[in-house]
Amino acid sequence: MVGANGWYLKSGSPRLNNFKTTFKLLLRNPGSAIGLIVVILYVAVAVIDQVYPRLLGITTDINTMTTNFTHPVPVPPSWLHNFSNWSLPFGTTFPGIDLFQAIIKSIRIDLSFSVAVVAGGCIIGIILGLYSAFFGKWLDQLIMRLTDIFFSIPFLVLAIAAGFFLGRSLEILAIVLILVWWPTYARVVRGQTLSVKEMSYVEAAKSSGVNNFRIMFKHILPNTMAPVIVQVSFDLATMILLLAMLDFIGFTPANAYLPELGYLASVGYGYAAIGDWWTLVFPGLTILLLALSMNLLGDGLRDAFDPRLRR
Amino acid sequence: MSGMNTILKVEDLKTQFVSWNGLVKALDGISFEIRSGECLGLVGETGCGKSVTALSIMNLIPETSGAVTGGKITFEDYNLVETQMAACKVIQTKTKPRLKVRRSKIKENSRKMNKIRGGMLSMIFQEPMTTLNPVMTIGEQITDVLYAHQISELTQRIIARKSITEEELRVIYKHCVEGNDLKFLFDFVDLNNGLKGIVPQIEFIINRKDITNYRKKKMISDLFDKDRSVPTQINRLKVWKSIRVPRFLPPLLKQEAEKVAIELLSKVSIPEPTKVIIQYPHELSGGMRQRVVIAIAIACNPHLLIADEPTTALDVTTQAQILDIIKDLKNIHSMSILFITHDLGVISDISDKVAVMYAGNIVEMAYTENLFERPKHPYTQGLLKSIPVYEQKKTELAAIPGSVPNLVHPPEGCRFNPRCDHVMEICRTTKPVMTEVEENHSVACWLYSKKEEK
Amino acid sequence: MNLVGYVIRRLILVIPTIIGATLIVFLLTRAGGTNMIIAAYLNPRIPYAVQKAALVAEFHLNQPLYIQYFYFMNGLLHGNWGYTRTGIFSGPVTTAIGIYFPNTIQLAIVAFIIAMIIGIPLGTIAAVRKDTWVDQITRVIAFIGISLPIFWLAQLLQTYLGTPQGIKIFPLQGTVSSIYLSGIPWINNYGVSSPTHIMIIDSLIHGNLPIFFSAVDHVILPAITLAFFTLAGIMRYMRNSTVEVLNQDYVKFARAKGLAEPRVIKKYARRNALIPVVTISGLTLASLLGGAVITETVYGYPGIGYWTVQAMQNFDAGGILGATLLFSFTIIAANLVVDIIYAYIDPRIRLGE
Repeated sequence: MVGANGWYLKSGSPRLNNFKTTFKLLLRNPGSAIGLIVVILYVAVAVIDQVYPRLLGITTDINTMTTNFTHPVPVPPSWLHNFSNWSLPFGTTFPGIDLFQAIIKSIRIDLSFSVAVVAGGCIIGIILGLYSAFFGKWLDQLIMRLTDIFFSIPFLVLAIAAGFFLGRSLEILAIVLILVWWPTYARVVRGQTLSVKEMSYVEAAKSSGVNNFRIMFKHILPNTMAPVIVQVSFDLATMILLLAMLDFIGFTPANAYLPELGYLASVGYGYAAIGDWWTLVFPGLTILLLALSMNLLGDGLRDAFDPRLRR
Repeated sequence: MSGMNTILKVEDLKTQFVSWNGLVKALDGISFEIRSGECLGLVGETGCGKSVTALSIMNLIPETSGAVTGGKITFEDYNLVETQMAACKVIQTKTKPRLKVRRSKIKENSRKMNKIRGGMLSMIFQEPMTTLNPVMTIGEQITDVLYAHQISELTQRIIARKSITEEELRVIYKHCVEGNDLKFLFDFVDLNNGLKGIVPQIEFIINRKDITNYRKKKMISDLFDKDRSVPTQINRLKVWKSIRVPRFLPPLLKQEAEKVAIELLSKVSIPEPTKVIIQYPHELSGGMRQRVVIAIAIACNPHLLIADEPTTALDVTTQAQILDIIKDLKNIHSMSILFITHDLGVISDISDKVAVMYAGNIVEMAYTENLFERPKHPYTQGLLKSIPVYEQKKTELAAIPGSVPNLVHPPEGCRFNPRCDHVMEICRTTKPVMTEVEENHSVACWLYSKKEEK
Repeated sequence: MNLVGYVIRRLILVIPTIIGATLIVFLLTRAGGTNMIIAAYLNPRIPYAVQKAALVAEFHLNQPLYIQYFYFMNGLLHGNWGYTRTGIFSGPVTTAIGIYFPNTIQLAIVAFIIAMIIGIPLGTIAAVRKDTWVDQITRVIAFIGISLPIFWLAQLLQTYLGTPQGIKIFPLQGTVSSIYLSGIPWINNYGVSSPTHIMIIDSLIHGNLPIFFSAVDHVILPAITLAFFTLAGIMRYMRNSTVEVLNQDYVKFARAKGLAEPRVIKKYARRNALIPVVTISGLTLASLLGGAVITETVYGYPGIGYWTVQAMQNFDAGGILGATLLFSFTIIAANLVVDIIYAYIDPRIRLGE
């Protein structure tokens, strides 16, 4: 109908090279714009906490976080009684640690963990998906059956089992999750590659004697990235929720010195029942906000990459 | 070309789409009319607004993307754009255009249109592969349109079979066998009350080409229904006029609808129609699916059929068969047709009149022979030059330079001016209007207006 | 057309999947080496030397890996899934599964039904009224649902609807009020009833209405928590697929036929839009089971998830292994069912491959 316009992508496969358009479209949607800003804020907090924690008002390093064992009972946020007093913006939680500091520390851990897992799974998935679709035949069959198998293993329980039999540490957890996370990406990339593979510019590259490796990674891969990026942004949210869940049921070795949002929530859980709501509300809200903004960002990205919506 | 009364009249129709980078002026004031029994061909390049014209007439422009912004479409006694324009408006804000949708008006519009669409006015879509619902059987999809428009006809068929006496049937079949006197037949049933529904059934049997006369005779005598009881539900449905399908359909009606579906399928020459109605679309080939689509479109004997590139997605042999079916509709059933295509060969084959579209405007309109013999507009001339001709052993085909312009920012004046060989100063500034240069041959080009002035 | 042939083909495909899944779980237990698995199964109350020999013999740890896997599978097929010893149950894993799994199934089904009943119509409305306030509100609900940490939601609901901190309208935890926990012969001390192990059904079998109402009361909050978690995904998926379907030619053609809009949506759009929703409902079930682990833990609901967490906290290797296998088998079975439903809805699939 409106195909006469030059910018309309007839190929159906969104490309990354018109980054500017994508970005513009992303910001046009208020939800995803807010999502993007919040995600950037979180990342900034995490990075600053790593590089120069003083900027966030954190004067202590990780091992000397103020614990107060004589008064382990949570103290309410300071502004509740005196609005101008912001020394303890989120109050304290057991055992007497500043909840604000603990949350900032946990953001860093949560973010880095989920980035590590998603990046790992993403890389493995992309490579396997590319090979699977490009060479087809038995390799494709094998890899797709493998993804079927991995899809049938519930990752939450698998993570528990892995921690149990291999040792409870974030590293092992990350490795196990990477091993079960790649099939999603393999499927996404495979689907995209199958359609891109048939396009004439790939045929042209083939007929001009470019080798397979170069075709795959130079010509096909960039055109399969849009859905991968969308998936990454959804998965980052899922991974943060998953880690929080595992921590909540007491799985990872989180503690007051190496806090994690799920752990903080589960600590606060006991106190919320006796009226100390802030111990439960603030960690949960932090997770909610982070996951929400990542999901919004992912949704916005999907819309921005969708050629049909560019009309 | 029998009747001379106008069935569809489009005046200064404007349709616009809202896109991310501006307002797409897809139709820029087009006017044409179709007389009853006539076939108008609409030709043009891809993206010139042919399909948009069809969708505007059918009121199928999605309210999320565009709207009819001006003009008038008169189909028989109905004004088709009035409520449509009230329901959805394009508002030009400072930065970008926006659509303003009024839900109540949309409902009102679709309620009004649903009585017309599918019944008096129907449409064949371009892509048979996607036009049929993949999860419903062919039978369900055909009967659906019958339930929506033809409940009273269906019940009349049942009642006719139940109320006809053997004596009357004998009279009818005698006349059928001896000389196929249909005229008498129709007069006869008109006189006898309650027999109206028998006509299409007999007509169908007589028009069948695959069986012998003896078999026809037997089939007609089989129409007599020994079970004379008419269920009360059927009686109540006799004058059904709503487009809402009644929730509980009597089983007798369902059987009847299936029968009609089989008749329709054999009308569009589908072999083994009884088998086809329980099949799913994916089990049929593209040509067969297009036939099913045509069968659905003609199910309620529409007065006007819009065929939006019905042959484009098919291979050549199938194309010819589909064209034959459409020609039959035109000649035997004297249906008016708006035939949209980009294929000039097909147009010359089927249509009486041709309108050439370019970038949302009709640039030339004439009888088919006139247009092909004496094309006036430079664009039409270019189009005709780009058809390969067997006799001429030319090595190169002439092509029109450039491509269809961006409709967000169309060229000023005549929209064809950037590609035109005969471009003049006035073409760049002022839009030409349709002027009649010969009898029944009008063209929108300054070349001819100028001459007239001189 | 031939649905039976498709089902048989699909059933055969299950076998390699089961072998693959068990192999992965098996390798996971063996990846840490012999000492790791002995450590995992160690019972601190029995002398180490005695136990080591017993464990090596039990798991055939001195044999090559593939023989170990053979014994492992042999045990699984003969119903020997190992032993569990947690605070709430000690004995064979299969028995524990028999006791706790029905509760999870019940919870999952109730949640899934609630999610479907609310999610599918809302998703359809959001798609039909695309870009209006209805769409925006469902969008916000969906996004919050996807992003909400389920344990947090469970805790908030429990704290503010189940304790005097907020308004106490729902019971705090368990399957039934604690007053029934002793004295009723068919309920054990942890709130598990017999013979079906689903309290709602058992109370009806035994004809005890107070227990029935109490059981229903107890299931509401966990079910709502799980349903909200699932609802978001279903609603969003339904919305997106309906938007997609509404742009299809066959919907346009249905409108061109002059059918009334409700009929177009019900008969033409919905069934097609449901296809992708059905295909993801296998994945939805996987996340539902994951959610059940958390929900059951927070609400102390004696289901399989509660038992898994108990096993984890009690260092019970047999229980964790059993739970992992059970969850995988459940998902494989669910995917099988989903594929069959899919083939039923979409006739194109039956011809495929």
